[in-house]
Amino acid sequence: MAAHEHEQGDSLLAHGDHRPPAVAPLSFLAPDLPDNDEAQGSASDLSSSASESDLKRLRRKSHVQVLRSERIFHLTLRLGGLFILLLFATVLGVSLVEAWPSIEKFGWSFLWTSTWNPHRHIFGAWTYLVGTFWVTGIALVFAIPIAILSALFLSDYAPKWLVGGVSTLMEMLAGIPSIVFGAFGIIFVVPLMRDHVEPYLANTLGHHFDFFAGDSMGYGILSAGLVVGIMVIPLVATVTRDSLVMIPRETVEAAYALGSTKAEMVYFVKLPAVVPGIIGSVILGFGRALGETMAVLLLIGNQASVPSSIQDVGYTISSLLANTFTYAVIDPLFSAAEIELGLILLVISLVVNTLGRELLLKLMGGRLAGSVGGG
Amino acid sequence: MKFVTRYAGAAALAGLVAMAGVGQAQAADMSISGSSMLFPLEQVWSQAYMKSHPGTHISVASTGSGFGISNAANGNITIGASDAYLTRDLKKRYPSLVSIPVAFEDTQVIYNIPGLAKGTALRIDGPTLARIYMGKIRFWDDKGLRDLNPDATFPHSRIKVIHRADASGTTFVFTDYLAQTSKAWNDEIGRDLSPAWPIGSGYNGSDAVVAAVLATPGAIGYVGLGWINEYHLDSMALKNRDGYFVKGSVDTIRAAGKAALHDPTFPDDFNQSMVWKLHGKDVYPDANFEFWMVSTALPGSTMKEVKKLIIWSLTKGQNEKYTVKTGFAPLPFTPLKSRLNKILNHILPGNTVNIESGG
Repeated sequence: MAAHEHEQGDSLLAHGDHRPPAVAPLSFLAPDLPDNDEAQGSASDLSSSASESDLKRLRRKSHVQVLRSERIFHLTLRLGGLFILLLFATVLGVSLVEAWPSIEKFGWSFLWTSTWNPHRHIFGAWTYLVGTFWVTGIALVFAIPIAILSALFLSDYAPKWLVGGVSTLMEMLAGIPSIVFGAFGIIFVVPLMRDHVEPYLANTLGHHFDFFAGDSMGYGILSAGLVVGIMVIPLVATVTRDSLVMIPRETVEAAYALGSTKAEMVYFVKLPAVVPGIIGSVILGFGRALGETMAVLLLIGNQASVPSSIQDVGYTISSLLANTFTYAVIDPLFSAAEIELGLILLVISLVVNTLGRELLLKLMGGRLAGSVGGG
Repeated sequence: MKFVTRYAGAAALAGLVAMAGVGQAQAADMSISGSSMLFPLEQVWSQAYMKSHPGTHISVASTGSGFGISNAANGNITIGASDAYLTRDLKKRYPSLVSIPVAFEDTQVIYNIPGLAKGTALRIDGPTLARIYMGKIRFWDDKGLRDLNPDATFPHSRIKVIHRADASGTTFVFTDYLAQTSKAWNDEIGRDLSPAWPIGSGYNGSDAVVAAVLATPGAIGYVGLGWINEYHLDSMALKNRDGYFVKGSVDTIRAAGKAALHDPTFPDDFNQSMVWKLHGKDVYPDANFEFWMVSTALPGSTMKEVKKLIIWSLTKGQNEKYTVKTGFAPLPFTPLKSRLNKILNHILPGNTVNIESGG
């Protein structure tokens, strides 16, 4: 890399009429040369009358300076990149080492054991895995349709004056700390679920399917899932809207030229074109919902049992760690088991992100490649 | 300009290092961390102590009893606060730790029964409470509850069990009562700061438990004296060892403390639960000590300061304006003196301590 720069620099110098800059770019990165002030001084003389040899000396010096600052800049960048790698390796390595007693003792059965009893030294992830997926699932089922509809509305149907305002609001919504949503959940969503939605569900669908029956606590996977869903909506909606906006005008006009109505155009042309964008945003939303801690902890009821109904309480991996990790440090196997839970969460999000990216590339290869942004 | 900033940066760094050095040299710097239950009392204590002992700095943090115990043992903090005594397991793992009781707390059962007249006095015993928390009693008009409370009319509504989600000393004391009184509970779940709850829903912190109980018709939960007083809650009278039903209060907790310390079989190092074991008409069966854990490996100068603080806390600090106001009962001192002296001598040998009076 450096050699390449060198060649370029040489060729520039070879052209006599090319005057090097008086102060090298990025010179602030260069180490202080002992004769720095002298160089500056002669640079100011340059405008009046400078001899040819002075000029050459100056060019050489400046060239050396450019090279050095380039090199330092590159080195800095490389360190930054290296730091990311190092960070990831450290997180993974430390977690693996700390989780090892649990991995060694329980093996793969850790995943499907549903007992979690610190008192008896039996640890299993099953209830927490199920709880995590329940909350994530409810959140996505709730969020995706609303997000896509709102994105379509904003890109094609909303009046101009509304678009700016709503888009800004949506982006602001994505930036609100999750604890605020958790508090909102307690004061609004929980009473709403407890007094209206859950009794209604139990009295209608609940008569036919146990899945909707229950004792209407308000707290539970439904409230937690809905609030996480609220957090996911702006994420999915903004990415989908951005994808919609990027559809080439020609495509839209072609649809109209073929005689389609606006609704047909949106449904048959725009929507299929943004499928990769939607998938990307859903994967982003999945990641967000998977790791969401505070809001879930406040709303889910924190009970280590496998939910059999949408009205049941449950427990997620992240809220378990938040609730009990400070205590778990007292017992090596207990803390190892909790760290292993954290590792599982890490692996799930890695796998999902990778799969999502692969899927996205495959889909984008087929149609409208490059016109659609994804996660 | 470049040079100026560089030198200014170096100077600032040197200053920081110097300041840190000074901070380390000062012996009167102490950190207390651990139990969230004891935290409010430690806050008012540290304020008052720093006022009357200029030059001393105490930082207090609420991090959970588990953190308090393990970090006091490895020297990260000066004093670890814990709701639980040093069990045999813990003593084996952290042999350098000494536990000092600093106040009394309790755990009380609160409820939200729709249709029940406010102020109705409810009574419950350990086995019945354990059956509720194991999901074996599911309705408020269960026969067991009606037999204990012949005067109350219970509705036929579901019992919604509420417990703590975080590891908590309140939970330890509560499950201790259940484990001591119910064989089934002792065999299946046992006592723990964070047990494997068979049913119910969990909330983070006592405030959240209170909020959930108040908001959920049919709920039952448990919190400490401080919360009962703060939120003016009704609590159930618990059956004690001698068969009396006693409601938790400063007086009944102190009665339990006195009974424990007058009991010659109670260990000198206080490393025993006082839940359930005690006899007496007005002894609340679910009261407990709050402990400070101190490592005997602390350096001598720090230990001197720690000891000064402990003695202050056990004397002036027991005043009701600190303890009762933050939801604790003061320690009774007459029987405590000789036992406490043994412990304090253990962490700083060669000195005798005079505890004149308590709150």
